[in-house]
Amino acid sequence: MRNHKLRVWLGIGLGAAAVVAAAVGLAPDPPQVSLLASAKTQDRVLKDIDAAVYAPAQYEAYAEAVRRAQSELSAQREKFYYSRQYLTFDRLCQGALQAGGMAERVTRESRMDFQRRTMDSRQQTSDLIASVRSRINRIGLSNPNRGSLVRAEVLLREAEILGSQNDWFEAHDRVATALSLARTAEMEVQQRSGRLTNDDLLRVWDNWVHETIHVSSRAGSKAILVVKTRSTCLLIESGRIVRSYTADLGKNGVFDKSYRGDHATPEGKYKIVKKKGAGQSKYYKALLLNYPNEQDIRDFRRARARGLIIPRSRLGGLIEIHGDGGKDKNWTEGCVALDNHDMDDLYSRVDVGTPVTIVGNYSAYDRTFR
Amino acid sequence: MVKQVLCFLLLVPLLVFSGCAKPPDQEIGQANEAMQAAVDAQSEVYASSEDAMAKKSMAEAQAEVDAVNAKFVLFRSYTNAKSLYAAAIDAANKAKEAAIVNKEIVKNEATTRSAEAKTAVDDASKALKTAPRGKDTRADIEAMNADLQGISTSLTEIDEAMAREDFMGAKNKAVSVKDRAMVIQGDIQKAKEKMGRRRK
Repeated sequence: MRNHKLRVWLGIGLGAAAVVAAAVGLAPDPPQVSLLASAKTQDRVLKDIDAAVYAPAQYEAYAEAVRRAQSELSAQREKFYYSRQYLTFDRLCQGALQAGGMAERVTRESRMDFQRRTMDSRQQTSDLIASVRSRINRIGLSNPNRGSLVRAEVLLREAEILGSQNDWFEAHDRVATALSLARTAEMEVQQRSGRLTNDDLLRVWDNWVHETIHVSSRAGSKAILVVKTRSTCLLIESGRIVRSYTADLGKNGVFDKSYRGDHATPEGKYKIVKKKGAGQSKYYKALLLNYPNEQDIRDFRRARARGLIIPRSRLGGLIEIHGDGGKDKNWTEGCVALDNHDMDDLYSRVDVGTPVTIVGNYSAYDRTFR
Repeated sequence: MVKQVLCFLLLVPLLVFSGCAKPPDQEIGQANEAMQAAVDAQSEVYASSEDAMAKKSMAEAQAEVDAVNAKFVLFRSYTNAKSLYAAAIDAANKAKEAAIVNKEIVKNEATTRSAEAKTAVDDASKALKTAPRGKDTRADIEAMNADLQGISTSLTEIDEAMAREDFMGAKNKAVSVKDRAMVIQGDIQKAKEKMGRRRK
């Protein structure tokens, strides 16, 4: 009896062990969840290097691969234990790891390229601003665009700080805005200076210069010639240049004077009508010109009639060649300013009645005067 | 005998299954809430290393749960997973606290830099107001006023960044504005000296 019970329990034990062995033996191979964990860990690295910004397609492909792997794992878990198989899951995890590696590589390359382009663009913008600033002393620039240049400089400095923080995406954004502002300012500078190379105007100006030189040569007399592009005031005697002075012009000196307060220096043929010595002018000494002449009056009336200037506008006056110049910039309200030493020299050499020709440009300047 | 065997065969699995581990749903829920709280506190921006640690802890805990879930039901134990989730909750809480503290530090720094920028612009404006005025200085003063106007626009952008709590952005812009304002101040000072010399 006892032996029988023992055999029964032994049989049960062996049967149970057989069941357990079968359960273990038929169990599916465990999934390589460590692979999925590694794939998910890549996300931290990718976020640190802004993969979503610099390689959005590759980052999305990686994220999708991780989602698919996770989804496959969940799907297998839904099944009866002995029906599960994780081969697909393992393969998807490998795919996610590869996609993560690709996303990281593309991001780093793209980031370096972006950094290089941003730095190049920053330099280009800085050079453009410097170029504009070097010209606005003589060419002038409207106040809004002056303010824009300052804003552009602030943005470039900000881009420099962002670059030092490795935030190249934001740095690029600042540089792009700065470049746009600088280009707008440059367009105005080019517009202003473009008039000085206009063919039609050049023909007119060249004629005026030739006539001035011809009359001076024929009569053996003196004449003053102001060439705006060269910021130069020339004293001509018997058709030859005898003196050359640096001249400061009106703040909007590149333009021909249209009305009072436009800060432009007039262009045309004038003469000295009065000499003001020391103490008679607030600008040291002065040579008053007969601006406006007949042509200026006709031009003003025509411009007002055509609505090119507002009806309230008045014709300017009191255009002089005076002292207190030498500032290496155009600052007057339309007059021609020389430094006091040059003013002394010119003042002593000319008289009332001396012709004064003011032109924007002279195409044969170098051939004639150098 | 048969009854005893049957009882044995029924009782053992019952005991085993009743002691079977359940997934740590409560811990997972708490960890998710803690992580969300850290994200809401902008831990990614203001406490990036603590945020990374918290996310790493979460990933490890999740991986442990995945590994245990993949096992045969009789062999599952979530003890390790529970302690990993406890560590993840702790890390997420630390990330949140660090974010709150650091955000306040950055905000204070941005406020200070913004004030410095405004002072620099004000000083430049005051310096320009005392520049000698006359027909020969009008153009210079007008040009420098235009420069100050340009920089005042940038001051507005600092205020806008502060208002939308972009304290890092506000700080960077404030530093840039102050640097530019100092350059303009220097230009004004040089111009004033030149103007003064000419008038002598």
